[in-house]
Amino acid sequence: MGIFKALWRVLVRFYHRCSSPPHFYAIAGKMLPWCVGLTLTLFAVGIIWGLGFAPSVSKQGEVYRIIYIHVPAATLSMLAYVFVTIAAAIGMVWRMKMAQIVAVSAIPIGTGLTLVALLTGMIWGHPTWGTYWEWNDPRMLLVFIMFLLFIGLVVINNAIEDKTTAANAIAILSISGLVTVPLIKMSTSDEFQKIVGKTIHQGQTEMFNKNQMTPEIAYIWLIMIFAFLLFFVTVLLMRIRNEILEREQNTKWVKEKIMS
Amino acid sequence: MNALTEFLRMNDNWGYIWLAYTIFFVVMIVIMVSPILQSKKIVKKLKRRYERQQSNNNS
Repeated sequence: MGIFKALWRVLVRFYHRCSSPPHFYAIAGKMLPWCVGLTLTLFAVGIIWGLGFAPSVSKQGEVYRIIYIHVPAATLSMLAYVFVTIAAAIGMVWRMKMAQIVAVSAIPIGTGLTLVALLTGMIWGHPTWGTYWEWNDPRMLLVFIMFLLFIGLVVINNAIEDKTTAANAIAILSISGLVTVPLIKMSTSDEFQKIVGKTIHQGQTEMFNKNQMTPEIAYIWLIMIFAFLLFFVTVLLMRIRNEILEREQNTKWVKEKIMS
Repeated sequence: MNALTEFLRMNDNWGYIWLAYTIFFVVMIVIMVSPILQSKKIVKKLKRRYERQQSNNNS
């Protein structure tokens, strides 16, 4: 029990430290070089292994290798949307400045990842399904709607000058669009397709089921998912530091930091 | 040389695979580089602002 209490106290102290912009700025600065190094290493390993050494798949041949960027980008874009919504909701309900900063900083990353997922999916779709785009496909349409939601969040953030009003508007839009994420996830299930219509996407793949995916492909897939996750964290930390500098420019600590 | 050509050809799917990976690299580089450039711009702007404030205070 004592260990849990001590751990809880450490977590609470860390949370309080992170909610203070100067502390977060310093912590993020220390974490960044490690995050950049690890992200680039994981990307290098995953891409070289995936493109150069992984076995080809009998059904699709070589073109399946787009999976190593398409699926992690799609997964991370959904995670980014949920992350933005949670941070924005915390910022709106508890008026926590750091949560608003985190939400605003994550929006452009999520937009970029969704764009990668959409474009690589279109390219992969042509040799596999014979079409770049299918408006009747629920999953494609839902990811496109999520992309438009991200664009909306970017526009709101740039258009509204008052930071608190912008953060509240972002929270409202992201919460109202959150339903797209579980719908994207469910869109390949039989129950969903009975109601909405057939998707041309394949069903859920079990990562370590040998009949669906060889272990080597599963390992590369995992490496790439971690690489994308770290990429998200790295760019998020960079953007948060920029946002902190902008918002805290009238404080003494920023002045000292810049002039030193 | 043959192995490299074979790798680049990707069993005649080179157009799709390399286009997808090019888009991936371009978008990821833009996402990663933009906050670095933004940071330089902010630091420059703030430095100029503080220097102006300092010179106003001195005069």
